Amino acid sequence: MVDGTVAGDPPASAGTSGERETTAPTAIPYLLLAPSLLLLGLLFGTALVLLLALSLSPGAIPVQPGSSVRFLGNYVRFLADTYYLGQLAVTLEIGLLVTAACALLGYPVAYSLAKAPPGRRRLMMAIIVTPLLTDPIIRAYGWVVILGNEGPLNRLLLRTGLVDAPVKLMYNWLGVVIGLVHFLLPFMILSIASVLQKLDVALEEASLNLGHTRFGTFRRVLLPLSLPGVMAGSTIVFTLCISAFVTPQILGGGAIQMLPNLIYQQIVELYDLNFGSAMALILLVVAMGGLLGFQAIARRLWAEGQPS
Amino acid sequence: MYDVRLDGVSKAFGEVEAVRNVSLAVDAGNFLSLLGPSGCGKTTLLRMLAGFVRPGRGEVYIRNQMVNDVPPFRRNVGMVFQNYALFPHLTVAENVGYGLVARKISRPERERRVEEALSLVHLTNFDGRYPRQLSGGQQQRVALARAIVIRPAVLLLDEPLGSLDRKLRERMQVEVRQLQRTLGITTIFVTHDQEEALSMSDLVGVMNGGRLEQLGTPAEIYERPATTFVADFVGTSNRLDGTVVGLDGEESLVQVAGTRQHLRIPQRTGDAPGVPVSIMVRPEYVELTARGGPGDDAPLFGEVRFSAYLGASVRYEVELGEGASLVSLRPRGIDGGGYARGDRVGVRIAPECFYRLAGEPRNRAGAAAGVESDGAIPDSFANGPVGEAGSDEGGSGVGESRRSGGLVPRIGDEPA
Amino acid sequence: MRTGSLRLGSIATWAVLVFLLAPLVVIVAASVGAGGYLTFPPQGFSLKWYAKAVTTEGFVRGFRVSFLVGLAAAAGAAVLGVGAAVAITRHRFPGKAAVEGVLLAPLVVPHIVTGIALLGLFTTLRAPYSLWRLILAHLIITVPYVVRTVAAGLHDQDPCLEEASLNLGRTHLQTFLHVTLPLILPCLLAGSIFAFIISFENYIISVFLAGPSYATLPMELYGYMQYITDPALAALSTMLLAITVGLMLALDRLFGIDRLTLFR
Repeated sequence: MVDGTVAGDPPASAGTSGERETTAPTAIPYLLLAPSLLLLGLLFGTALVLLLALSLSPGAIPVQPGSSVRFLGNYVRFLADTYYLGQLAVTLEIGLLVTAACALLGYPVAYSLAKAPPGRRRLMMAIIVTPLLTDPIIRAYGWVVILGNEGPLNRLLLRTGLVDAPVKLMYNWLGVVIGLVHFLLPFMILSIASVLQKLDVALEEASLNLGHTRFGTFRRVLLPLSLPGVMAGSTIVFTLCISAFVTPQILGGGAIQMLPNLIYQQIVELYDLNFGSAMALILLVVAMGGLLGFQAIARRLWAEGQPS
Repeated sequence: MYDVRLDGVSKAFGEVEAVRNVSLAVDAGNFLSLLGPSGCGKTTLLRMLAGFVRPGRGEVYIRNQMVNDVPPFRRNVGMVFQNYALFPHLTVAENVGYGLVARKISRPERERRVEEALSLVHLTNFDGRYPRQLSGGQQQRVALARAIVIRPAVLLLDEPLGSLDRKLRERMQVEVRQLQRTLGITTIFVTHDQEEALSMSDLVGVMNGGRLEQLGTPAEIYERPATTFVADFVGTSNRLDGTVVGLDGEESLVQVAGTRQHLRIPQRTGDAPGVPVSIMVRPEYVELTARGGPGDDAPLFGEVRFSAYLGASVRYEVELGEGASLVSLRPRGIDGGGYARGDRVGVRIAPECFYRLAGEPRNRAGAAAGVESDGAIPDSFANGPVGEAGSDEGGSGVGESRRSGGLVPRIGDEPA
Repeated sequence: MRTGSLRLGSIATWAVLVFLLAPLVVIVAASVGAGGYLTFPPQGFSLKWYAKAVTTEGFVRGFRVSFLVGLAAAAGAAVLGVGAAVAITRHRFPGKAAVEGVLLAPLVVPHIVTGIALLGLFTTLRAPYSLWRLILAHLIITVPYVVRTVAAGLHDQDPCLEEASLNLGRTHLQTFLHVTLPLILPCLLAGSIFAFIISFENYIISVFLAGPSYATLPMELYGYMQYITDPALAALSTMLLAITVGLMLALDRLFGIDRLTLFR
């Protein structure tokens, strides 16, 4: 080191001792956030903690005496009962089925939407968004009219001679799935389209130019690049699907009980807030699991690179 | 009187040191350009003056008032943003009058001053339009009018001409400079365009890696770059490395690396056989002669590797030997029909056009800071990095004007 | 260049779009039927079910409750959401990631869970039935939507505009009122409209919290549907659909229909 011969600026090493300050922290952001945090953090947060507490208290049906699990009685009751587990399985099955159906039906629409000229694009957006903004009860009600024994669909089937007697199209899993697909399809379409429309047209043209067919281009270029949109859409659709109440309630007609319908029953009809709370938390865990699961799959797909 | 003075300011964003120990001062009425590649810290420096960034260390003075803790809205500093930042929901007149409302200026007076400012930027009768109805050049003028109408102590321009096309840009350069002269506003102009910086300014500060590498008049910056970085960044630099092989009176004889050719350059104290030398010359000073033709007594010779027709001039790249080549810019027509690839040519450079860089060998050239703690390099070679400033002539403290333009000099040495 | 696969794709697209519109079209058509049952295609033409819909006491009362709660939630969410959005887009502060998580949490918690949790809370606090319970609950689920839209608007807005205002001598508050707010107003309105729709259409949270005297319109709709099958419900639905379309057009004007991908 040079000792004192270099006057002027201190050596660069001295600079590291200087303050690494960003803008000085002020109270302003906290003041701006205070009302929201009070509502969402304190009120909502407390409610969720209380939900956990309620679920740990014994429900209307007491736990078997001598049971080793004192606090988890409600959970044990759910997890040891094949009926509830069966309904949970039905919920998950319908969730996956609806998600897959939305992806398959939504992709071509999203693609057309992304490629459509502005005028047609607005029309398509209006057609997609209008049901999204319509009350789910009204939408399910429309399907009740269409799918009923006297409904237009059954009449069409009878008239064409495809069937001899009206087909049962609702108050079974089919009606629930149709209703849920209708309920959730817009989310999938918008999610995929938002990714597709950001893709450079030149990528597709380059693939065609290099000799791939349209299908080859789709498989090798579009699909891998739009997979994040599909996965994001699937995450939304799956979590909303297993949490849906109105649509399965109306179109299932009691024959199909998804988890939210069972929870509603416990609380509104059986007044068992404790067991209902436990089921609600199970639903929350399943929904979160779905969320994380789909995200993990998405990440895995990315990590593996483009599927060949 | 200085309108702007920075005293050892530094700023780090997390691990990134955006500005490192910069000191400078600008006289009232002067036009200073801060020139450097993106990320060199020039915009951060400008934002410090505007009050959007607080210096981590050091002090910022505007008109002798320390403003480190003065919020932006009390600084009276006019700023033209890179993308103009015109309020899209306000008309041209409302945009220009925006700062006057904050200053509680009465309506008639405000209207008068807005009109005056708009006429200064040649936008009379545009007052009712919205920014989106204006062209890029017109938006730029509105931004300028908005910044000067508040009669700021300092005008800050953050690459305001960057998004204009070449023709318009050149016209705006002239207009901005004329306006600045007319109003006599102390101005700091940030740009990465060296031509713009050289043509518009009283003074140019070249920045790199958060440091102020050199501060000087445009001519000083161009002809006597203090560091390799400045030499490379401003203009096309031709660099030849070599070794002193002999001394001859006032001159040193240098063997150009990679060749057997020798070059005479003005001698400097400390020159002795074996001392490495780096010299720089601007392409327009590199004369070419036809090999074997009349007047062929050129000290160097080489072979034309490329020639590029540039309109008014022709650019040649001449290879002197392995790893040694020079670029020559010749006015079209001067050397007859010019040279073609493969032609062997004589190369001549007038001794006064050589500029010797600091003694660092090439591989250290980029790391200006590297010289600081290295005592092995003789003082006479240490005319480069900012870190060495003040090592001769008894230090150059802040507040002492030594160079034309009234700037506190940060660069210690005069070139060879 | 038209190829077979392309045409197949566009047929599939329009088939899906028909599927999306089908239940809405059926309801609108059935609402003007003259018969006492809901049928499609409708038999005869009559507007009498519209008359019945607007005079059915439950519908009128439910509409009033839902409209009030929706307006209150939208207004409250606007105020809370703007503050929160400004904080997370324009400020740096410790714990920001956690705060963002809290702000968006109501979006990932199923509404039925939110409803039961709040039912538990209000029951424990012995809070009496009132509109406030509904408004607070709806505020919780709508604030995230406003935060998202407004944050998107702030994100797209050049921060230089605010700096220019400060530079020209306006304080932070003046800058917010004269520059930031006017420029994000469309996004704010769009977010509020969305908040209103979310609140207005909510069934599952209201059903836990409303109690008998504050039944919302979706609760009335669902209740009516259980017992009566006349087209009055379709008439009411058609009117609500008209409001929805109107709001959608407003959303398009304010925010751009394309950007609705943000919502869920």
